[in-house]
Amino acid sequence: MQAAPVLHCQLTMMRIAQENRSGWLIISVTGRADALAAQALEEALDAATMLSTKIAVDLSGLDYISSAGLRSLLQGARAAQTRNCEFVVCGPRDGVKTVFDISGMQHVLRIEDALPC
Amino acid sequence: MLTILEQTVLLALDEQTGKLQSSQGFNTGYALAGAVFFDLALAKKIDTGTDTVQLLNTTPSGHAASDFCLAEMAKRPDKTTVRAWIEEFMQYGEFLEDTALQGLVARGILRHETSTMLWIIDVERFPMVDDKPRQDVKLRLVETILSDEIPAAEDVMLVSIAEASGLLNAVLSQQELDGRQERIRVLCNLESISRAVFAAIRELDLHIRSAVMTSY
Repeated sequence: MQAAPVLHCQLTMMRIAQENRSGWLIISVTGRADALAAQALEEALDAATMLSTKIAVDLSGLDYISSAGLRSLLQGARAAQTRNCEFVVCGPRDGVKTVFDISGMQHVLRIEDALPC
Repeated sequence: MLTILEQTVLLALDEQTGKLQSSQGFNTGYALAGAVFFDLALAKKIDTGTDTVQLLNTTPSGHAASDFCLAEMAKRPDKTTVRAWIEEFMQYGEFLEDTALQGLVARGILRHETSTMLWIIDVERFPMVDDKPRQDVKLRLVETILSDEIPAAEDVMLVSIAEASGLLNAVLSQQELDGRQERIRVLCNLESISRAVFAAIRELDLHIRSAVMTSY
């Protein structure tokens, strides 16, 4: 397991960390994924698709996601698809899961309850 | 880069009449309101939750329609739902349409012509000068609907606005649309702004049906 680089989004309450585990690049997103954090999230996911072919986005520490946050996830998944990467969103808590259910994100993204590794 | 509002108007424009062509006339006002909302979201002026809208930045974006709506929103901090603002901006449909047409003329995509019919009625027309932007919009709609790829956020917005205003018939055959109903439904549900537009349209339809029923 490698040390986890951490990116703090200064303007909002979001934190992104990444680590390699069993062939997967785990991107852990905690706090709030809103418009202020969306660009940092999108850039982190895009960069991840250039580092690994298997990406898991761990949302177990995410408290809130707005439409801008959802778009960032969508763009990240799109970048992964373009580069033939496996991309899975994992562990959303109830509030975030409700947003996924209302928007039907499960029809577009692969969403799992637990991390694949 | 054209705004979502400009792309919608471009797609809906009947060059002969200079009016927006839509098989669902009442819905076009809601669709234009939704398009402006998407432009504000793309410009990072607003963010939305499942129902609510948050104003992030009131600095003008440089687009007249967006800036008008932004200024209206800044005056009313008590109005916080996406649906309420869609209903509000729907009333400015004609202004939004005119502003978008002016923008398309300024970009050299359309030409503005006026003539007089029967010596008294002024008639406006907007002939196409450069058809490429409209073809690009149509192509993006076709590709987004017919493929199973993960869509770009802006294309999701465009599909939902085109569906709401009944414009998808202009880009795909009925058979193709029938075969891709599930994909269209998924795309139209992804954004809270689209959901508010469709909810407003559904409610309007119910009111109209109810009014028709009670009139018999």
